[in-house]
Parts: sequence; structure tokens; C-alpha cells
Amino acid sequence: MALWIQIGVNGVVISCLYVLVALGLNLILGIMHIVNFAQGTVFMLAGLTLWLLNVWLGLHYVVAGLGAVLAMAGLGILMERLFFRRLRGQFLASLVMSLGLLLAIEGLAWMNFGIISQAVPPIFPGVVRFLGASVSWERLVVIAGGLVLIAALLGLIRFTRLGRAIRAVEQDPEGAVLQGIDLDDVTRWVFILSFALTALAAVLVAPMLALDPNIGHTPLLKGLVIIVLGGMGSVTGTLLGGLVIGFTESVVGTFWDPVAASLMSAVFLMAILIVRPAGLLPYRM
Amino acid sequence: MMRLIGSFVLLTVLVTAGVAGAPVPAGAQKTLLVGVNTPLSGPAAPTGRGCLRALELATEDINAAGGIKVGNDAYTIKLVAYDSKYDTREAVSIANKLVFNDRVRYMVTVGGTTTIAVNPIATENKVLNLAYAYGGKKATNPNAPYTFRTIPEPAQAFSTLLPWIVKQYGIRTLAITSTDDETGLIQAEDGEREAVKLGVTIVDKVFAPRGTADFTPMLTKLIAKKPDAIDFGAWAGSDGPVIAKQAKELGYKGAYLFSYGQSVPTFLKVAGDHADGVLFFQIYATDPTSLAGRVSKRYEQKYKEKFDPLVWRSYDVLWMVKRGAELAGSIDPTAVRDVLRRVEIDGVFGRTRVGGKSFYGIDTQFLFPIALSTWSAKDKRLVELHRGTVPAAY
Repeated sequence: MALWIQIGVNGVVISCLYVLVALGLNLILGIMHIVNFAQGTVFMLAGLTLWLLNVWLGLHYVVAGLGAVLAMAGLGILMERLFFRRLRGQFLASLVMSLGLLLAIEGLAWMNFGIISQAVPPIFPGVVRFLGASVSWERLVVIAGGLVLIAALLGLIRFTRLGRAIRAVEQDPEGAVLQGIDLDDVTRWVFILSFALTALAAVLVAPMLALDPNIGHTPLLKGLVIIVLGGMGSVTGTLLGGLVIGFTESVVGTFWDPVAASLMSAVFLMAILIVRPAGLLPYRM
Repeated sequence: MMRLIGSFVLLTVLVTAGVAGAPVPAGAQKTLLVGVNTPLSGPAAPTGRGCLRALELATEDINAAGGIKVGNDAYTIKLVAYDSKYDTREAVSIANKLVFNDRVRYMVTVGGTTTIAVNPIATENKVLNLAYAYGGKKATNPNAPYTFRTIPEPAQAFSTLLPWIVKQYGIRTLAITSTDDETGLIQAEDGEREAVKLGVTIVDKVFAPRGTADFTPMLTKLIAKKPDAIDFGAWAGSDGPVIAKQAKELGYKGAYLFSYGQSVPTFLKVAGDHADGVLFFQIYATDPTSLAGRVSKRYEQKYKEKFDPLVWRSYDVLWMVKRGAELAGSIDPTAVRDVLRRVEIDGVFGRTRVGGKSFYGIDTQFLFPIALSTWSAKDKRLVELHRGTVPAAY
């Protein structure tokens, strides 16, 4: 029983982390039709910005985290305006651009932070034990924070004017423009939301990890797998895909090993691509 | 015009002949290039950079002491370092660059898998390869006669330290996790072999790639088997402290064996108080010798950083080369290789010598006393628990 509770908690934590990054990726993919490989560097930069503000400048974790999220939202505005807006609709060119940004940002990060891993001190130390399982407060905060953020994003997309505009652009960009929606405005907000979500994921998990310029690789890779699995452009599909991958890693990683868990995720992905090429829940933003 | 060209050619020939025929002054100062093939980025960077800095300090000290004296010549050492990123392809490319472009005849390679990959280049080109590496018999063996391992392997560390640990902590069952590369697999084999010899039962083994972000699923599996101890194999760099922290959070109460050399400052920075009670193989709590104390002071003065005890492990390497070359009366790598097994120095850890034939089939293993230390979160300091020596006939 305790083992299954532990597996369940591990699965939820892994899912929350991957889903937050995947949602950020999927927002941009749905609206701009860009696979933004630079999203992994946003995760890394947010973590390192948090470390700079929290450890180096001595700001409180919450203030530092807010600073990191705002910095990444600002980076989102810059990236959209300088690099991606002019490439809207050009899938290949934007793909190459995002790869170029990934390499450039990682290179800069290695030059400035790369030699030694950095760490953010735990803000919620200690563990909670129940029914034989043991979960750190940090992980519970990731679960709670992740669920709140996912709910907030769903609420924003379903019930706000901006959310309706995002859905309209995702479904029919030309129709949306004819209805008076400012395409540039919507894409700017999508970048802000996407980068802020990824930054929030990084801020939540940073105290659990060692921070270095490679730290965004796994979330990026898993995020890409999740959006293909769940359905490109689909928020609910991303949630489902994230749960599938998170629990696969937890269950297979516990009863077999981590390599088998990654293999199993790839098998799921291939199976879905054959049976349902558009993903589990396509086009339901 | 033809006369002008003819005069120019004649002048060139005369000048060239004059230079070529000029006598070389006795006791000339020469340079010995030493290549360094080490990870300076990625998770293994703390180890790789520590090794490079130790070599830099040793180079300064040897050069200040007059360099390597062979006959009437004195050689000053110059390092040429490249970042291997702990990637075997990168390491092979760097080894080729060092041998064929930089023309080095001595090189230091950091990493087990990278050393195994680089060995054929060292052997074919008769380049003395001083390996900061594990990798067991795959890295040092009679077929790689130019490769010397400069750090104690798990095989020596386990055989020296594990009997004491098993007795002291009453260990009957052991779980093993390690990286899924050559270094990690060999590390796990060495630990398992020594543990089984001592009557310890291995309850489970799990391997995963370096850079794994979340170890909790595999740790959940290991902890469920209720082992008395977990050996964390070749997890190092930033992976080591992350896995220790996650195991503590999962409530594991047994002994934590970190048999792979850890960068303690990095470990403490990432794991914080979760490092409490962790057993660090080959880590010295205090200066093992007065020379070690001087090295650590100079390190902190030069690099303005807290000293990392891992640095000590690479300080003696160039001193061994110096003593070998001076004993051989030559800087020829083959001549130095042949005398190294007779070389003994008082190094940073005490008496340092070369041996290992009983285990590897060839005397290419640097041997010195091995310490076991733990971190006390209460006292905020490392505590040395035990120091063992490798048998003389090893």
C-alpha cells in the first residue's frame, strides 16, 4: 500500500512538472504553429535567475521567484517581437530559429554559469509521512502549485476575453482577425503566458534540483512527447499526455528501471501516432 | 635581376645553414607539453576542473623548483587543456588533436569511458596517458601499457574500506545504483564482488543515465527492498547530491555509500543537511599531510574558492612524471613508463607508488592510503572515520 502511495505521489509530481512545460510549448504551437525548442532554455534561465536573485542577491524565495517569472515573461515579449513574429506561419524557418536560440542561450549560460552546479536552498524543508509513504514538503508544494497553475490556465482560456481570443486564433486565425482580434496582441500574450508557465515550473522545482545549463533538456523532451501524445494545440490533451508519461515513468521506473520507463514512453508515443495520429484529445483548447 | 635573385637564394642558404649548425647551449631550458583531456562543462565539470587546477598548481611548483632535470637539460611543463564534456567522441577528437596537432607525448585524461576510448591512440603513438579514471581492467591492462591510473579505483577502495564499513555498520544486505555507462557498470561490479566476498547479499541493482533529474521511482524500488546500505556507484558531480537528497526525502535510514569520488563542496551546496551521515570514500576530513595543507592553501589563494579535496588527487601526477623522467634520464614516454613502477614519492596522501599487477596484470595503478569520511551536519564539518592502506603485494 505504502509503495503504491509513493508511486502515485511520484507520478503526480513528475506529471505536474512536465505538464507545466508542455502547456507552455503547446500554447505557442497551437497559436503560432512553432515548435519552440528554446522553451527548455526558458526553464533553465528561470532556475538560474531564481538562484541569482535568491542566493546571490539574498532576496526572499517568493520575491526571487516572482522576479524570475517576470524576467521570463519579458523574455517572451522580446523573443516574440524580435524573432518569431516575422516567421509566423513559416514552420521550418521558425523551427530553425528556435534551435538557434536554444544553442545560443545555452552557450551563453555555459560561459557564465556552467562550471559548477548551483542550488537554491530548500524553502519548505522536511517530509510528510503518511500510510508508510514519505513525501517532501517541496514535492507537495510542486503538486499544489502545479494544480493551481493548470486550473488557472484552464480558467483563463475558458472564461476570459483573452482566452476566447486565443481559442479563436487557434481555430481560425483569419476569422479571428475579421472579428476584430489583434493577432499580434494575442501572440504576444501567448508568449508571455507560455514563458511565465515554464518559469513557474522551474521556480517550483528548483529547490529540488541542481541547477546547470543542461537542466531544461529533460522537461523540453518530455514536453514535446506529451504534446504529440495528447494532441498538438490541445490543453486537455496535454494534461492527459502528462499524466500518462508521468505515471509511466513512476510505475515502470519503480518496478523496472528508468531506461525502461523512457522506452515505454516512446512505445506509447509510437502507438498513439499509429492509432490516433492527431493525439489522444486533439484540438480541444 | 637574376643576380639579385641569386644573391637572395645564397643568403637564405647561408643563414639557414648557420642556424642549423649553431650549437645548442648546454643546460638549455626546454618545454614539456602535457595535454589535458578533461570535462570542463556538464555534470562532471566539478571533477574535471578540480583535476585541471591540481595540475596547474603542480606545474607551477615543479617549474618553480627548476622543472624536470634530465641530463643537462631542464624542462618546464606547459599544460594544453581541452573540454571533453565527458563525451567519448569529444575525448577521442581531443586526444587526436593533442597527439597530432599539439605533438604532446604526455597527456592526462579524465573519465573512465573517455580513457577507454582514448587508450588506442595513446598506445599506438606511445603517449603516456595519465588517467584520472575508473573503468577497471578495461581502462588499465597489459594491452594499454602506456596508460596509468592515477586515482584509486573502487576495486582498491572497496577492498580497503568495505570490510571496516560492513563490520562497523552491521551490513548484511546492500542495494546498488549506478550510472548506466562503462564507468558505472564497472563500479557496481567492483562493489558487488567485494560485498559478496564479505558475505553481504545484494538485494537489487538499478542503473540510469547521467543527468537523470528525478531518481525517486528507482529509489522507491530500492528502498522497498529494505537494504542495510545503498552503494551509489558512479553517481557524481551534481547527480550525487541530488540522489542522496531524494533518498533522504523518501525516508531511507540505512548507510549511504558514495564509493565514487565526490566534489564535497558541490555535494554540500546541493544536498545541504541531507549530506549528514553520508559515507564518502577517498575523502579526507583534514589535511592528510603537510604538503596537502600547503596545496589547499595555495588553491584558495589562487582560485579564490573554497578548496575541494578532490583536487589533491591530481597534484602528485606530474611529480611522479618528474621523478620518473629524472630516474630514467629521459623524457621519452617509454623510458619513463618503464621506471614508474620503481618510483615512490611522498605525495599529498603520504607514500605514493605504482602497483596493481595482481589485479590488472600490469603495474600501472597509483597507490596511496585511502580515507573514509562522513559529513556531520551538526558540527558542519567532515569527519574522517577510517584510513586504510592497500596491501604491499597488490
